Parts: sequence; C-alpha cells; structure tokens
Amino acid sequence: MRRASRVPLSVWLIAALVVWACVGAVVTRWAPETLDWGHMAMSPSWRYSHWFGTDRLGRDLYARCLAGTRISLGIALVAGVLSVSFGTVYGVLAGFVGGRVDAWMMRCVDVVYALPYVFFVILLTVVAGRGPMMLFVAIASIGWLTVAQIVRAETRRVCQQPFVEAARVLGLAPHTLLWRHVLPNVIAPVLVYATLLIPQLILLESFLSFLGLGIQEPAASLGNLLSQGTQEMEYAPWMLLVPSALLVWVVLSLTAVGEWARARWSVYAA
Amino acid sequence: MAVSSRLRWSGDCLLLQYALRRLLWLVPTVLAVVSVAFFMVRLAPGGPFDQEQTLPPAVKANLDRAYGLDQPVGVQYERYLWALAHGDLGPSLSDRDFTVNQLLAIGLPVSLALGGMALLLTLIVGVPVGVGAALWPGGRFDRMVGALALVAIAIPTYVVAPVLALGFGVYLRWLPVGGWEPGRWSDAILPVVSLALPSLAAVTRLVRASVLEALHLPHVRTAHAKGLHPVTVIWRHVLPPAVSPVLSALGPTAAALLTGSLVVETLFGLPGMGRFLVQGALNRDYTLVLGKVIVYAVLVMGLNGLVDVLQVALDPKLRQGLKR
Repeated sequence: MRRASRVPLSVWLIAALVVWACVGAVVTRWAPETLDWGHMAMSPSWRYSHWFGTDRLGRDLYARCLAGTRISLGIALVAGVLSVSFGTVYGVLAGFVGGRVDAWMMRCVDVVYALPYVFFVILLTVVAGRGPMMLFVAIASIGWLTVAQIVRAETRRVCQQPFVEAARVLGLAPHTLLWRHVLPNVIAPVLVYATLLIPQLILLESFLSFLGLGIQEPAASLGNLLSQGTQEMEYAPWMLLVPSALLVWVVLSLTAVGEWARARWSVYAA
Repeated sequence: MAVSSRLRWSGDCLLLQYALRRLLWLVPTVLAVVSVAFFMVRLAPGGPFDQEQTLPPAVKANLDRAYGLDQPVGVQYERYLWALAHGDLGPSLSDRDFTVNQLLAIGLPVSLALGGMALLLTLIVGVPVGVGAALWPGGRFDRMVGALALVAIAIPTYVVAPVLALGFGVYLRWLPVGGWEPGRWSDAILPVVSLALPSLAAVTRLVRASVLEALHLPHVRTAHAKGLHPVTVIWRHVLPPAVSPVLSALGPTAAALLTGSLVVETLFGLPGMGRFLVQGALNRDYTLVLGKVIVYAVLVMGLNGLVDVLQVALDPKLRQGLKR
C-alpha cells in the first residue's frame, strides 16, 4: 500500500508544466505577437534567444507556445469547472427527484449526445461569434453530459442506501437530505472523473482550434500552433514538434494522474 | 473462432426474422435523424450564397429560386424527402458543378477503403495483443501494452499523423507524404496507421479486460480440469464469451472509421468524405451536410444492427430468448 500512496511522476510532470505556464515568460524577451523581422522561420537558436525558433512571420515560438499552453490549460480548467458543476447539479436533481422528471432529463442528455459535436460547435460559432467565451460554452456544453450521467447513477445508488432512508424517515427536509447526505457521497467519483475530463477538454479545444473554429490568429493555442506546424513541417519541423511535445506532455500526464486517482480511490467512473 | 459453424447452424428462420425486423427499424430511425438534421442546419443564420461577394438582390433571388430555397421550409422538407425516396440527395450548394450523389460517389469509396483497412488492422493486431496481455496480467508484456495503449489513446490523430508523415515521409523518405492513386499501396500505409491507432488501443484494452474476466468463469476451470490443451481452452471457451463486449463497441468504432476522418484526409490529401460535414456546415451547404449525416446514420445503425444479430447468433442464451 505504501507504493500506491506515493505521489506518482505524472503529478510532478503536470505541476512542472503549470509552474512553467505561470512564470515561463521571465526567461524570454519576446512577446507572443512581436515580429522579429531579421529572423523569420529560424530554427531554435541560443544566440538570438529564440529558444524554440520562430515562425514564418518571425514570431518567437517559445513565447507563442507559452501563451498557447496558458490558453489551453485555462480554457480546459474553466470549461471543466463549468461542466462539472452544471453536470453535478443536473445529475443530482434527476437522480434525486426520479420518476418521469428523471426520465425526461436523461432523454435530453441522450439527444444532445446523438448530435455530431463538430456540427453543434459550428452552429454555436455562427450564432455567438468566435471568441474565448463561445469556446467555454461550446466545450462545456459537451463536457457536462457524461458528468450528469455519472452523477445521476451515483445519486440513484446513494438514495437506496439505508442511511438515506433513515434520514428520510426521521423527517429531514429534502434539501437538507440532499445537501448533507447525498452530495458528500457522490462528490468523490465526480472529482476523480473531473481529472479524466480535463485532458479530454484540452483535446477538444485544440481540435477545434486545429480546424480553425477555436482560438483565432494572432492569438495562440496549442491547437492552432499545431495546425500551422503541420502546414510548414517540411521546412520548419520545430514548429510541429514543439507544440506536439507540449500537447502530449499535458494530455498524457493529466490522463495518467486521472487513472492513478481512479485506482487510488478505487472509483469506477465510466 | 467458432463463428462460421454457429452461423450455419443458426440459418434458421427465427434469426432471419430478427435480422429483417432490425433492418425495417432502420427506416423510421433514419427518417427521424434526417428530420432533426434538416431543421437544425436551417436554424443557423445565413444562407449558402452569403459568402460570394455581395450579390445583387435579383441574382440572389434567382439563385434561391433555382435551388428551391425561396419556398417555405415545410415545402423544402417535403421536396427533399420526396427526392430522397428516389435516391436523389440533391445538388451540392457549395461544389456547384456536382450533385451530392456524385460527391459521395467520389468520396465514399476512398473513405470506405481507408476505414476498412484501418478496421482490419485494428482487429488483426488488437485482438491477439489484448489476449496476450490478459494471459499474464501484471507481467512485462501486459505493462508494456498498457503503457502503449494509454499513449495511443491520449495522443490525438492531428499530432500522430503529421509526426509520422514528418518522420517516415520527409526525413526517412520511405513512404509518400500524401496523394492517392488507386493501386499504389504505399499511399495508404501512413493514413491507415494514424487512423487505426486510437481504435487499436481501445480494442486492445477492451479485449484484455473481457478476456481477463472470461478466464475466471467456472466453465473455463472445468475445461482446464478435464485436460484440454490451453490453446483449445482459449479458442473454444474463453474467446466466445469475451467477444460480446468487444463486438458491441465495434459498431460505432467501425462507423466512425468508415465515414472518413477530416484530419487524416486533409493531412494526407486524400479525396475522401471526411471534410463533408465541416465544409458543408461552414458553407451552409444543406444538402451536403444531410448527405453525410444520412450515410453516417445508416452506417451506425446498420452496423449496430449487424452486431446485435451477430450477438444473437453467437450467444445460445440470446437465441433461446428469440424463441419465446
């Protein structure tokens, strides 16, 4: 058991990345959108302090990757909090009320699930315009679905336990019952699922930006950096490799943290 | 697996009846999906001709009339369904020299070929590797497979595909970076591998989990106890019960692979149908979007139906349920 309770490497990896995202700007003199006319599409060089090289317009890749990582992490975090809180409230209500309300609420979830999400996001972009706000909403509107399903199943399970029945018989008001007895018991699997959800949301954000539907130029995100890198990989491979490595780092270490948390607290969330 | 002999056995009319009933259900379900998609694309503001440089109103009115877009939505819906019943998906509104039928005739075979090969690769590699990992759980092979599967699931196609193209195409020059000529097999290798990797990893994990579970079933212990050869035990007694969850997951996976991936097809310059949905939705090409949605829905539901029929054919308990 001692081995299992040790903090794994993946936690340190993701902590290191977050620290870098916060303070990484100290070691560069370039801003993400400054053009360096003298050094366009230059490979990584110490001499001009372009640590990761520059893109075709002479923008410093280190600064852009830093900005992109911050945006990707930030969006995933905000969208994650939004989807977890909305999904939890929705799922707890459906599971707690039960009956026909529950059936209709979950049917709605199924319908949104069945729509192709790229299509859904494109419709949202058209209606709400392309910006970070739209991205939060679009990503969260997909992320909450699974949370709601898990929370609902957990709530149904908890509600059948003897202690809830006892509390009900003792005449506890429904909202007190919900707040004091049901919520604390469903929150653990939600938190574990959230650690697995965040990397999914990061992937979703970068996929949308890769398609040109998410973060727009000149702002940087890991997704649109990757899409540029793909177009120019033949003469500027560092533009593809650096953002790829960062995305892999973020997603792999977060997924590993999630799987570790799931095994550690032996929760079997979907 | 003992699939073929059992299928021959179950060539009875009950199974056929069940299959036919599943097939009939396809019609109302596809109709429902078509209707939802039809009204959803029209919800988005803007029309198919808004992206041209501002057209004179008279020209736009003529265009709308030519494509029947000046009619009320109800009439458009009726006309669309009538044409659909005759197998006509209408003219494309963004590729204006083509009908949607023609675009699908070009794109679908490419996507089907790519997806079919990716599916084959997934099964040929995923099933044996998953079984191997389940036989010695916690062993070196199992841990290696687990780590590789985690990596393959976590890394998205739009990272894997360009990095593979850079490595094998640009640096090593072993394989072409893009292009598609019928009969040139080397074109297909990189796209198929990058397409197959995530589903390969998922299938491997799934096979491992369900074989691990099946290994502990009582009849497997009996089979071992009566002295059957270990390979026979796995082939005849472990795999059949383990196949069911893998089959259920395979329906949607196969549909997703076969309808083409936007990322893979764009990256490798393949003329498949992966781009239809995004291109169609961005240009308000209503007919193109609907065409792809219909193909996808028919594939998903057809494959799910096929999987269900196969489950019944494979599982004696489900076959019993059919008789009642």
